[in-house]
Amino acid sequence: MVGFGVDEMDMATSMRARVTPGRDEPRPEATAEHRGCPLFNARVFPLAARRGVRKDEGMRPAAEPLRRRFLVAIGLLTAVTMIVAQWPGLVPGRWLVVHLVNGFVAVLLVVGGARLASRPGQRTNGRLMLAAGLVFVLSSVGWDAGPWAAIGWVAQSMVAVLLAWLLLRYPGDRLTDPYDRVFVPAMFGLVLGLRLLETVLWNPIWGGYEGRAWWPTIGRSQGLHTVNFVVMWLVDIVIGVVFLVLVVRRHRRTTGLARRQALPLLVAGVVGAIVFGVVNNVYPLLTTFWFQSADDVLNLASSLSNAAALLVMMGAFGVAALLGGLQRARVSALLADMDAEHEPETLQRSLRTVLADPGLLLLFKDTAADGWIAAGGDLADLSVNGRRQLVPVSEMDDAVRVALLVDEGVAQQRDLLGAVVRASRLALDNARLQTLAQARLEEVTRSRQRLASVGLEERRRLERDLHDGAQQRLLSVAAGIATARAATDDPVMHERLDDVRDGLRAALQELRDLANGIHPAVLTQSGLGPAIESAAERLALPARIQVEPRRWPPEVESAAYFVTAEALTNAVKHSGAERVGVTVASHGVDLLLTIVDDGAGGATPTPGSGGLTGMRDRVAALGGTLVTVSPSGGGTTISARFPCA
Amino acid sequence: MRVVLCDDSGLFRAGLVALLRELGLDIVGEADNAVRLLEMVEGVLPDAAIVDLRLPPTFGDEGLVAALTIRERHPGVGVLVLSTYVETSYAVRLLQGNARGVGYLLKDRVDDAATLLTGIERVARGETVIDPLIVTRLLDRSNAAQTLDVLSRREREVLALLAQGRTNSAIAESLFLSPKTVEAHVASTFTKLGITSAPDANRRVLAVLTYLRVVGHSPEV
Repeated sequence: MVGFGVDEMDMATSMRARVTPGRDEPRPEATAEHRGCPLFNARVFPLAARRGVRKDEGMRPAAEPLRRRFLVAIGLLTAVTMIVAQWPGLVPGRWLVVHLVNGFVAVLLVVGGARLASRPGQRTNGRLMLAAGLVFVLSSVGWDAGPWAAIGWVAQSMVAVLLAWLLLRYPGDRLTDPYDRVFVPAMFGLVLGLRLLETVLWNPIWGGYEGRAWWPTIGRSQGLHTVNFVVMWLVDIVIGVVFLVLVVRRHRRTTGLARRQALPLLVAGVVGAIVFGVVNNVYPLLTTFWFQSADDVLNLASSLSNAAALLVMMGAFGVAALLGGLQRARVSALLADMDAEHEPETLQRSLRTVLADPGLLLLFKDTAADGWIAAGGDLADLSVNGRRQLVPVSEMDDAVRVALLVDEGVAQQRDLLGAVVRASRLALDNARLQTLAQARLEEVTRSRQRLASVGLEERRRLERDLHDGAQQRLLSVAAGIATARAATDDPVMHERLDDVRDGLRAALQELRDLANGIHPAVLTQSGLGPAIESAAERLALPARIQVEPRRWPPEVESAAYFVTAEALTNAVKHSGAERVGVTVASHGVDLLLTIVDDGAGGATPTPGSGGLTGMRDRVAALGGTLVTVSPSGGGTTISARFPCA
Repeated sequence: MRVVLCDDSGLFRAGLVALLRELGLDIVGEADNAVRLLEMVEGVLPDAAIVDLRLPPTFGDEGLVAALTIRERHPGVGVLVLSTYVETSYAVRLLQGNARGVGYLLKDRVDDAATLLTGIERVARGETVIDPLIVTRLLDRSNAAQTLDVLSRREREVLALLAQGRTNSAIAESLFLSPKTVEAHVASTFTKLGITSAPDANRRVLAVLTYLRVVGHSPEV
């Protein structure tokens, strides 16, 4: 049985899975980290049902009812507080509806916030919502006496600010856009600052409050207040508009899985921006400049619109949360299929589907090359990153050998990412081993090819040296002998010189054969066709030679030539063939060589004996394949394929 | 006779120059690359040029290309291509188009003054010279031998000399036959083998060589 715990520290550094042994595992409460109230302990329960792993019975059922009871408790507490807070206004009449709605909204905010905070990765978001709820309760206080009026008035605007902040974060746990990052503190500062200033400048007596209210007034001049009021009004509208723009931008930016949740959040954002940014500012404008006395209808309308907006926003949140839940269920289903993946590339494709991130890269640490290898076996280039984040995945022994390069939107969905990673851990490990093996294999092949081409260069140089050096010297000696012979009429001299000439001829022939055996010049110059023809001619073997008139890489041509030369020699010397057919053709990007003879057959490659084994080695060194079909008495067919990619 | 030499090996060139002088030829120019050779031929207009097949810069077939260029521009200059190895494919290339006054000999032939001299004189005269080694190789292929069974021994001898580029009179001399007999043999050889008869010794060399090459390849294995 496996229990998981999540390190609550920066999840960008690691996601750990601690395997705890069977029955003796420590109680989860003891190992998970506590931060004060157990409610805010982000305990992670496996979101995907792993095949063959039963859920930990000790954990979930114990915590659930506890949490539910807690939520009910604070919900009731909030409701009671709201009743108390709005007590002066709870008389039958139009206002009762507003107060009830307010109470309902407050409960929603507080309970919703608490519930959200208990979800993994949503702790701060939940707290924000909870704070908005508490501030809302504060702002709903209808008692004129004491400091409540002032506090309530300031609190009213902070509700919107907190929710705005939440909307720019959810479902992520931090603000990523630089504009958002500038906007939020600015919004806080301006709204809070101006309202505090307003508090100081406004005298409650102007608003019809009796002297019972404690108001930190220093302002005497209504003019100053008016100025500040207008500034506040302008700033609020600007903030509302900017927030609207940012929310729309955020929606546009959202990709992948978060997209599904984005629309209800957009609606919430737009409604909030319009109501709190614009509508709310119309009311005080009207009361200040047109209706000097606080008109009840306008007041009622304003409060109702506020409450309605909050309801809509909470509704949108609810829908977003529901969509998120449905999505996770879908992801769980997909994850169940992923268990069967073994190939790195298919695994990567599955991850891309599950996380709705088509550009996701599965990377494996290559200690030898000190970098990351992608699923195809190539070294990954991480410099061109753009909006991607590298999420390392640490394993049982805390080492990081696997990482995912994901879109930053996906990286923010920590809970989802964590679940996916855990569910595919085994598959990831397999994929990693496979990729590393593949990379090693490719390295070996490349080094063999380098060796082969180096050898080829050496041989060609040797052949040229023989030609330019030794052969030319011998030839000039031959010319010298002919000159000497022509210069004399003495027959004895002629005879002697003829002897010398014969010896020289033999030497030249041997040298020629040697150079040809090392590397035939005609192969370099004219390619496989003429070279094979020449070899057949030298063996006096009737051959049907069909060579595609093109060139291939030099190492490949060299290997193909020598394999053919060997095969032709065998055909003549060992199997007594009378006819031979040689075909060289392209097969895709590979070279396909076929040599058929009508000799005695029965050729077997015995290990260690030159001939066929040598052929096989030549072919293998270039990563090719060689097949020999040689039934006794039935001729021999040799097929070789050389990859030329 | 005035000749020009082109070979990138100073050593070999020196030996060849000594030999040709001994044989009474007039060396009017020496070059070690194709460009220089062409300039020289342009300027000096010799009777014959002796060119190495492999020349700088690529040591591929610059010599062959230069030979064909000389033939085109200066039909009066015979070109003898020497090479350390003979390839049938090169021979065929050399003979494309106008086969007059071109020759292809193995460099080894320098050990025999008479052969070399004859070769040079023949190309200067406008004949075609093909190294017997090529011809022998082609004829010796057992399959070719079978097809050539239809020919009489005499006809085969005539064919061999034909392939070397000999004129009818030269063949008559070598085989101690009368020119008329040689003509008859040639005609019947061509008919038996199904080769279209060519008007002169040069053109028919190519025809014969091509034929022998094709015939040397076996049918379906």
